[in-house]
Amino acid sequence: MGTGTATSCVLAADRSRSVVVTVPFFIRENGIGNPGLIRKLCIDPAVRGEFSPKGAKIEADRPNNLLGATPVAQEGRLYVDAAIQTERLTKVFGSRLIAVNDMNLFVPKGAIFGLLGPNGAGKTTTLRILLGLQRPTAGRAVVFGRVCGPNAVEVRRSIGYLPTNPQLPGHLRPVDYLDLVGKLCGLRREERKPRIASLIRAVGLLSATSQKIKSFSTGMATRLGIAASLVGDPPLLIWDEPTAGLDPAARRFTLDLIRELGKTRTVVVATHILGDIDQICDHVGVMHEGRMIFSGPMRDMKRRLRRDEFTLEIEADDERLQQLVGGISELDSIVAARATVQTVTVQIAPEHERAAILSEVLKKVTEAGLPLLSIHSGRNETENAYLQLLDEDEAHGFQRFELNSARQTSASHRNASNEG
Amino acid sequence: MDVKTRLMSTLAVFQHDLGSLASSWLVRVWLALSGLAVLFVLATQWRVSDDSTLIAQIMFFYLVVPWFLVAIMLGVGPVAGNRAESLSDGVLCRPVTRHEYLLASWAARVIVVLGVFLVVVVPAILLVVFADRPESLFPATCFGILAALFVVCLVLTLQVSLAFLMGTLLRRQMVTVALLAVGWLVSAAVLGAFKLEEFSPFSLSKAMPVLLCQPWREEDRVPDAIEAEKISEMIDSVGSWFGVDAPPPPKKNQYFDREAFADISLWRVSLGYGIPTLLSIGLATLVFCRRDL
Repeated sequence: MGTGTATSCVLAADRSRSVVVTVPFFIRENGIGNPGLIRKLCIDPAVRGEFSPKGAKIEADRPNNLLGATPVAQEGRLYVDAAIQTERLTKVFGSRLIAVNDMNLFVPKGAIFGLLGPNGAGKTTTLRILLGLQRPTAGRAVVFGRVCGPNAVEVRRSIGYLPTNPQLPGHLRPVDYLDLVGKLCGLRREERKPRIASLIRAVGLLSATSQKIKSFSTGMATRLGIAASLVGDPPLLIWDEPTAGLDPAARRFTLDLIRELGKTRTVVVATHILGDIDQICDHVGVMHEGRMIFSGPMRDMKRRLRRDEFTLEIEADDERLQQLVGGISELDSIVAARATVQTVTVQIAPEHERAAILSEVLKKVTEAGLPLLSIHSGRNETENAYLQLLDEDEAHGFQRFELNSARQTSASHRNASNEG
Repeated sequence: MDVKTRLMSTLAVFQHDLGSLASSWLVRVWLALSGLAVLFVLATQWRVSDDSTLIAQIMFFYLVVPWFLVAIMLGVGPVAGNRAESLSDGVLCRPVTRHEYLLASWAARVIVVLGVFLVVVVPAILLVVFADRPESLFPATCFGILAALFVVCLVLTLQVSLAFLMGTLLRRQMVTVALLAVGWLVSAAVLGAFKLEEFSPFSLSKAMPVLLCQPWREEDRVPDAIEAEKISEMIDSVGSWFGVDAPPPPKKNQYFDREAFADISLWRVSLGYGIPTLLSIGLATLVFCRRDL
């Protein structure tokens, strides 16, 4: 089966709830259909599709929260142009610990995807399943259309993996280690040697080539691990907590590198450091207790928490600051108050245009002749959105369980009646 | 992908493991102690033992104690222990299959163990065979020496393979070594009581002088050595009747038992140690390919 696309029928479906749409025809390249609509086709992380002689059957859980991507048919299944896709991935350790719980993950090609979650959320387990180091208890993981598994060599050829605090063979020197990795990737000598030289230079280890790895600091080992993940020139990079234990300079270097690499390949960064995600990622997935509680573009995550409260830091004495607060409070639809000695909080009513109101507030500050030191919207937006997601997940856990159970029960009833 | 590229990763793991093991303190210390042990045997038994017994005494350390412990320690899987697991992750997250990794690691371990054995023992054997020593009643034959070397290599390979399997199963280095050491000694002692040289390295060690005297072909066998020994004793006693002092006979070694193991068969011994070796490798591969890392 060649490359094909589903039709605009999905667009006509009800976007507000789960849908199962049977596409009446299957469009081949240059076939029937409107290419413009095909481009707009909504593809969800949870999209599943199957082909039949009659057409393509596409199933999506949240079609209104989707990316514009082109689905590709492979081996009778429908995939969007995903770098990584998991379907109901579950990993249970020894019937005791549920590390990954029925998780659907979708990482579009070319994205810098931040896999976010508290410690023990199942991030590393998910990544290890992708690499074939662990087997899923249920469900499956697909990387570039290939199913992951212990002997999925081609999957691993397309992945450059950096583990948390990489354990490297201490008796080797960096060039020897990268040479070993190059051989493991099946690179020929004439290809391997120049690449190693350029990588050593790129990660700033040129002056440490004569040292043994056991003498390396955490930062140097991480940089060498980064170089090792790039030796095979893979289209997908999976880095597990790449900034763990790094000093600020090394952290900056790593984040800049991710941003740069993200221009040419897909990068997945698993971390619990929100600041890193905020700076570099365009897509984000939030894991909590083994489940994916949010997955989508970064802007959607931030949009979840529209903040109408701003904090102005102003250098002024008590009296003048109080006067300013009074002046700001006179403005329509604003509640102003002094927060600390030098800060004023301004809360804008939700239905009002924030930019216009804020410019009025700043005009008041200018008129008062007070120096404005800083202005920010409360806490970090991503942090707020993340914490809100975790709170919601904690609060609605039981409800979600009931919903899922009900859905599964009804599905099983449907199947039973169909079989009957 | 061509075969050369496919083999490149396996060879890389093999070379890396070989280099790591060869440069480890355990192998270096073992090599030094092995050399000293052989020197000690040569120095103390040079004038006392005949060729085959002396060579068997040199091999005693590898068949009975203490070097089996080192072979086990070196053989314990490349994924037993936290650090080893982390390092293996670094390999297995690259385009290498698990059985390629396992095969390369096992081969590296076996070669290191056999390398140390051969490096120490072969020069000692050459010394015994070619040195100007009193004519031996039980000279070691070329076939016997090669067969003995092969058999000891097989036993060492079995030790490494068993350790490899147990390490893969138990995933804890020290526990594996302790369990295997006790199990090995007990089973070897029990099977040795039944004089089963095919299964017990203790019995095999006792049978080694007989194996060392075996010829390439049956028709090349010299007059039965045991008979020759009896004739020699008879001549000595006849000489003493006439007041002729015979030279003092070489002291008989009570450990080695030529009569009990006169029927030793290289074929049976090879099967006895070879089949468990193959089973161990097969099981280790099966377990390793099916489990999580």
